[in-house]
Amino acid sequence: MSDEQRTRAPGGGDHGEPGCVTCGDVASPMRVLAVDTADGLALCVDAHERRVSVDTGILDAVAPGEVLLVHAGTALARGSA
Amino acid sequence: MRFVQEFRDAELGRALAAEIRSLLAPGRTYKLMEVCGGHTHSIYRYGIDGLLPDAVELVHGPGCPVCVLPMGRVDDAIAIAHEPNVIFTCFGDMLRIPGSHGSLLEAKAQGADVRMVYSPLDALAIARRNPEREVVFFAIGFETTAPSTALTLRRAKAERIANFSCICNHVTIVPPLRALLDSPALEIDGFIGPGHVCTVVGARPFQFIPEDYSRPLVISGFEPLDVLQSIAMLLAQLAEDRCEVENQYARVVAWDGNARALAVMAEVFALRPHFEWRGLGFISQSALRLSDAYAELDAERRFGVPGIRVADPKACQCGEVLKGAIKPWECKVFGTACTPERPIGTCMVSPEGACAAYYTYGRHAGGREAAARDGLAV
Repeated sequence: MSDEQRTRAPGGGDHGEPGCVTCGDVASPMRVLAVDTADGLALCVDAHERRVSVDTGILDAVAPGEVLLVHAGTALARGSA
Repeated sequence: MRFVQEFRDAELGRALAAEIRSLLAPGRTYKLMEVCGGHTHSIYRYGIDGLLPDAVELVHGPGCPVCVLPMGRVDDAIAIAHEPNVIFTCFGDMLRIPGSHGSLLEAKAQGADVRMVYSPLDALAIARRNPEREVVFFAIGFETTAPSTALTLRRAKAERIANFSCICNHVTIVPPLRALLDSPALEIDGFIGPGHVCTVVGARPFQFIPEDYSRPLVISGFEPLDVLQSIAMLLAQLAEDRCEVENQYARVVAWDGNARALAVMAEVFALRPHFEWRGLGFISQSALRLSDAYAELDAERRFGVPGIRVADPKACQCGEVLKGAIKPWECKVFGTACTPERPIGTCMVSPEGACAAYYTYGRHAGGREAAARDGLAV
């Protein structure tokens, strides 16, 4: 894996450019595929079909199909598709 | 997908650029600071600066958390990474940040078990899979990232994961802004506010900027039309002699922020009395440590760190870049001794750093050519 690939975080990826979305204060839209209510996690997918478990602890209950703005593995806000 | 494509429409971008031109007072120049490194990256990636009239200058603020990290903290991280039995985890950008004796990437080459993660949850998963090892997460970022660390630490405490700890370098955005505004040399007409920080803290904490310092601030999204519209909103305030906090990013940012995020941060973190910022020096109550309730998860207490203050390399002018006093290409070592491949200063490491953004998107050439044309020494 190149350095460029290494610094490209999943969910950064609506444009897929090199960069650290975590350090860049960037949040990326991801769609909820499944929700684990007991664990406070949601399985989400980004625009590049990468799947990530996302902590939804600071939002009200989320549902499959919703779009969330995700930063560093945590959903900061909800949006709409 | 919403949030993305409709905010990249070229026709609308040209219309906003025309609106920006129409708001300028004849003969006046405007300096606007984008606080956030994510905005710096967007501006150069999408060529937003090329759409602006010469009278509007964008100045890059201190909003890249990697860029403001002093070398001594990198040394502290490397010291922990070299502890026996430690798996040291961090975000990608941190790997190449130079300390006084090398970077975490070089520590890895020397045998330290340093691993890149995409989130603190990834680091916690490593701790679950390696119960016989000590797993340390290097937490860094503004209020956007702090909730993620806080939620993970709360999870680790609830699950009693004893081999997980965190070295906390989270910083807060308001104190450095106040420090910048207190600088007599600062000539900024308005601020483009940090959109994702505001999803957590809201717009309210920024009201001191118009109230105490008589500068407008517009909280902005990160797509090209977001940034252009925010610039137009700032110029409209200046044209109409208004001075207030406005929220361009209202589709995401609530005025009072996210109460749950603020609550978990208050539970897990406490303010440090002061913290050193590269280029800005020590700023009171500008960073977070773990609260006493989470002391057993604090890697600084678990391992001890050297905690030695290290001066920046003499050739490096990151501090002046971070204060907006010089453009990146005006630094003596920009693009020569200091490049993204071999950075001397932190601003050249992160893609969100002003120097790396200038370098990556070729603004160094334009800057130097313009300087030569204007007879400036470079």
